[in-house]
Amino acid sequence: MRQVPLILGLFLLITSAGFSQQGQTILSLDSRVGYSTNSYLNPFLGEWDSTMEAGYNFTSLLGQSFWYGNGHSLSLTGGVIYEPFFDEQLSTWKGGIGLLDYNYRLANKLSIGVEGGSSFMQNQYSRTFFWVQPKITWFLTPFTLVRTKLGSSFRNYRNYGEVDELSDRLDLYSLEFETWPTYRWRVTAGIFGGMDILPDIQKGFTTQASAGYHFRNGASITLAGYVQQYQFQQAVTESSGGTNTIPPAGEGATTTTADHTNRIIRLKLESTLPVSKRFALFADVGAMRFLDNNAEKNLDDFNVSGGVRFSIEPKLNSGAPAITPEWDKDSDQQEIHITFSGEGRLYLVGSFNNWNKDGIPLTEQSENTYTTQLSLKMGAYEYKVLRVRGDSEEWLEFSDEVYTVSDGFDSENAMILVE
Amino acid sequence: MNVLKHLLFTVFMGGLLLSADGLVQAQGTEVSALIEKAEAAGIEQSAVAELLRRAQSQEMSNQQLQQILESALDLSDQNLPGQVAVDKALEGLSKGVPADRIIPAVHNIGEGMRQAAEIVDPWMKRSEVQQMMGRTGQSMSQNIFRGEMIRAASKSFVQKIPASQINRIFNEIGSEEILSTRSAGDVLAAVSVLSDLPTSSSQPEISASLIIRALRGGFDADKLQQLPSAMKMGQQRSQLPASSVIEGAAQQMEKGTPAKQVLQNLFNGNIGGGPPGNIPPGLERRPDRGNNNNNPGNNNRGGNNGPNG
Repeated sequence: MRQVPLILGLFLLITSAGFSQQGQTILSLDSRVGYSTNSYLNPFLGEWDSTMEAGYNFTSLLGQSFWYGNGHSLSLTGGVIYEPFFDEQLSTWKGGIGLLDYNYRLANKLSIGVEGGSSFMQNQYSRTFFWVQPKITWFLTPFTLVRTKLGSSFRNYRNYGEVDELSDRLDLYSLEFETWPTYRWRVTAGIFGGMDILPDIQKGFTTQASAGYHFRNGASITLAGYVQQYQFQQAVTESSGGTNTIPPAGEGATTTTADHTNRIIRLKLESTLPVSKRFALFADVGAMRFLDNNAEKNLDDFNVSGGVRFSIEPKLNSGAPAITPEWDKDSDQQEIHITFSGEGRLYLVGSFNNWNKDGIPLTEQSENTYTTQLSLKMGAYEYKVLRVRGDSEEWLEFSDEVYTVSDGFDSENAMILVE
Repeated sequence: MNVLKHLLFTVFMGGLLLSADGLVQAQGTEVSALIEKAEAAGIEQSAVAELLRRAQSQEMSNQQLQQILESALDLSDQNLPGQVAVDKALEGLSKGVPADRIIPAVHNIGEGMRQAAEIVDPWMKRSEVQQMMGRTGQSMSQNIFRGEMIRAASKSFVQKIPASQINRIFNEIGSEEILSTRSAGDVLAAVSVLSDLPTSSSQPEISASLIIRALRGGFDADKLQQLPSAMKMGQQRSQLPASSVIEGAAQQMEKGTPAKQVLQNLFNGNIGGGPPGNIPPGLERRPDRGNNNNNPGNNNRGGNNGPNG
C-alpha cells in the first residue's frame, strides 16, 4: 500500500510539471456492480476461487496523464481500487495500481517502448505485483500492427494462509496483432506465456482474439475469446496445484508422475455507451469453462457486471490557458465567444482593426464567457486575443483545435473567413 | 595639442550631425511622397496613418518605414494587394517585433504573392471559375476573391511548397466537378489550409490530394479550416506518421463519413481505423483489464492459477 501514494505523487508531479501542455490528464471514477461465480472473473482481482460466488461492487478512482511530442508518448496511470462483496463472509479487497506506458517512434513503421506497472491488493492476505516489459511495434500498414514484448514480472504474497511471505519472478513474452479492416471494426489476436516454457509451448500459454465494433457516437461492443492451457505434474500439497500456482508454492511442494493438462476457455462481451461528455455506461458478460484431463467434470462459471464512469479533465497549468474561440457568423455580423477563466481584460486584435491593441474589448457575457460582435466585409482575417492585467499584456495561445497560421514572427494567428 | 584634438573632433561631429540631419530630412521627404503614392494606390489611409504613428512611437527609422511602403507600392503596381504589406508591418509593430525582423517578413509575403499571382491569374480566367463567380448567391466579388486567393496561395510559396504542387491543386479544384458545387469561400479555404497541413513541407502531394478529397467529400470552408489542426491532433494522439493520418482521414472521406465526424475522429486520435494511440478519453486502458487476461501483472502464464491452485 505504501506504493500507492508514491505512484500518485509521481503522477501529480509530472502532470503539474508541464506535461499536460502537450497532452491530457483525465480523472475518472468508475463504479460497477456485478455477480460472478468465480473470483477469477472479477474485475481486476483475477484470483482463482470458484467457491467465491457473490455479488460485488468494484470502484476505482484513477488518474491518467498522457503526454506526447516529437515521436515520444508517455502515459501514466495511477489510482486506488475498492472491491467489497455482497456477502458477509467475504472481506473487501482494497488496493492501488500504477501503470506506465512509453513509446518512441523510431521510423514510420517501427516504434519501441516500455510498459511497466505495479499493483497492490489487500484482503486477508496481501498481493503485490511489479512488472516491466520492453516492447517493439511494427506497423505492417498504417492500420495493422504486430507487437512483441519481453519482460519480467515480480510478485509477492504476504500472510497467505500459514505462509508469511512468498516471492518469485517470471519472465514473460507476448506477441500481439491488431488490425482495423474498416474504420468501424477492430480485430486483435495474441499469444502470451512464460519464457521458461516457450520451447515447449504446450506447457503453458494464453491465446486471445477479439473483434470490436465502434459506433459513431463513441459506443462500442467487443466480443473476446481466450484459450488458456497449462500442463503440470500432479501437485503434492492440497492447496497448490502445480509449480506455477498463486501464490508460488513454498517449501514442501513435491511432484508426482501424473501429468495434468488444464484448459480455460472464456468468452466475454463488453459494451460501452457514452451518455454525455462526462458519463459513460458499460456492461460486460463473461462465461468460462475449465477442463482438466484428469477430472471427470468440467467447471463452468460466469460473470455479469454493469456500471457507470464519471470522467473529468482537470486543468493543471498555472499559466494562461489556451483558448478556443467559437464564431457565430452570418452575412452581416460575426460574433465571437471565448471561454476564459483567468484574470484581466481581453481584447480582440487583428487585421480587421489594423492590429490595434486598444481595439475591440471582449465583454464577459456570462461567467467565464467573453464575447463581442463584428461587422466584417468578405475576406479572410487573422487575429489574436490580448489579455491585459494592470500594466502587463499577454497574447493568449490558441488551443490545438483552433485553425492558426504562422504570422511570420515565430507565432501563430487564428483566422476567420467571412463569406 | 589637446585643444587642437578637441577642436578637430568637434568639427568632425558637427559635420556628421549636419549630414545626418540632411539625410533624415531627405528620407522624411521620400516617406511623405511614398505615403501619398500609397494612398493613391488605394491602400487604406487609416492603415498608413496608423503605421506612421506606430513607427514613430516604436522608433522605427524612416529608412525602414520607406522599405515597407515601397514593398506595398511594388505590390500595388503589379495589381497585387499592397495593403497586405502594410497590415503585416502593423501586426509586427503591435506585437512588439523589432523592425529589422518586420522588413524580411514583409518582403517574404510580397515575394510569395508575386509567385502566387502567376498561378492565380490564369486560373481565374478559366471558364469553370468564371461560372462559379457568376453563380447566383456567390457573395464574393471577383476582385476580392482574386486578392484573397493570392494571399492564400502566397502562404504556400512562403513555406517553400513547390510551385508544381500548388499548380496541381489549382488545376484540380478548378474542375467543373468541384466548382459547380462549392462556393468561392470553400475554394479559398481549401487553398489557404494547404500550407498548414503537417505533410505539406515534406510530402506536398499528399496534402494536395487530401484537400481535393475533402472538397469532394463535402467539407465546407469552416470544416476545411479545422482540417490542419485536426490532422496535427490526430497525428500527435495516434503517434502515427502524418502520411498515415492523412490516408486514414482520406479513407473516411471516400466512404462518405460526414465531415464533422471525420474531424471529430481526428481530434480524438481515431485515425480512419488505424491503431489508436494511448488515448485517454474513456480511459482506453480500463481498470478491469489491469490484472486479467494478457496482463503480465497477473503472472498468468497460461492460466497457472486454476482451480487446483
